[in-house]
Amino acid sequence: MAKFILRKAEPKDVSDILRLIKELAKFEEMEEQVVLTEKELLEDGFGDHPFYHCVVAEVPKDKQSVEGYTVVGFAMYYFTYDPWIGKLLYLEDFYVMKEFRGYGIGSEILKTLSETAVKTRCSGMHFIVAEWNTSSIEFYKRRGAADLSHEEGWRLYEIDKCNLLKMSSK
Amino acid sequence: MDFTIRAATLEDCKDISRMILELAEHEKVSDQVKITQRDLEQDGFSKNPFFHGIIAEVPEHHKSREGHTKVGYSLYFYTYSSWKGRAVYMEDLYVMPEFRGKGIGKALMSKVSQLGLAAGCTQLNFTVLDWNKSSLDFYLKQGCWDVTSDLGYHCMRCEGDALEHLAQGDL
Repeated sequence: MAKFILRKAEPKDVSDILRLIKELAKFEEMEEQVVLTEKELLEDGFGDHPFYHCVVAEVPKDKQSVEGYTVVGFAMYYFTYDPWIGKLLYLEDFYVMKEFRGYGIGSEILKTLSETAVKTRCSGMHFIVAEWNTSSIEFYKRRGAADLSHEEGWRLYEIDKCNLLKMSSK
Repeated sequence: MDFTIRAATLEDCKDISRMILELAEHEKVSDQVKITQRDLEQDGFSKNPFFHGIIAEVPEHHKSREGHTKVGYSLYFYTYSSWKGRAVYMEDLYVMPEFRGKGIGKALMSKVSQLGLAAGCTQLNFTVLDWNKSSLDFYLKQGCWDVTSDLGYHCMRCEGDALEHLAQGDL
């Protein structure tokens, strides 16, 4: 099975996108953290000022998954800015369903995203990986990715909504 | 000390560029700054900006030793969490050394939080260098937590030749 296509996500894909987001989160043992809804994905991705962009991988109907899905992989990304080097492409999520791995879908998605990054004159592509996810780390390092947390000491911090409210009212 | 916090405009790019260099010098990597004042003007103030800016300004009579009244800034942009939706990322936060300890940093960060919340964001993210103890202490006091430490997430980057090869499908 080598037949698949990559295409820009459309509004009709939000149900599959959310399904795949949850599958990836489950793999990261974070499934209960996904509070995003299809309605939000629709508003935030397909309005006048999208907060994200998405590519999906689709197989023909005769190759559908055991549960009957034809959208079998996706990548969610957006553009960020580094005041030293300019535009960057940030890869938020990247996932291929287990039964469709090993056919080059992941590689093709990453290739498409890199082409997008180069075409839009981004200086690089950034993303985060969990340090226990050794197979993904190997996948990325084979493609020349550098671990900034390890090499430069960058640590990712977060302030949640509750503390944001406190801070904004001070 | 009196200061105002306001949205950055095209005219602020000269001072933003100056302070970006000052911050890079503080992080000991000023040779890595390739972005010019003109790049900032194009990338931040065109129809589809890649970032937004906030400026902290003091009155003339409080200007810095070199005569600057724009004494702090923050650069931020909107991102997206596939778990929680809209988020805001604070890329830079900087106050000139002679103006620290007066609540300017906190006020800049507070403004970014307000704007983020108004835009429907549920989280504010940023990165800090592990040796930057004074900044780490400041952020922890604001109620934030270290995602890298607690969840083991590492920031990765693919750039230059690696990015070009990836785009060509080379392995």
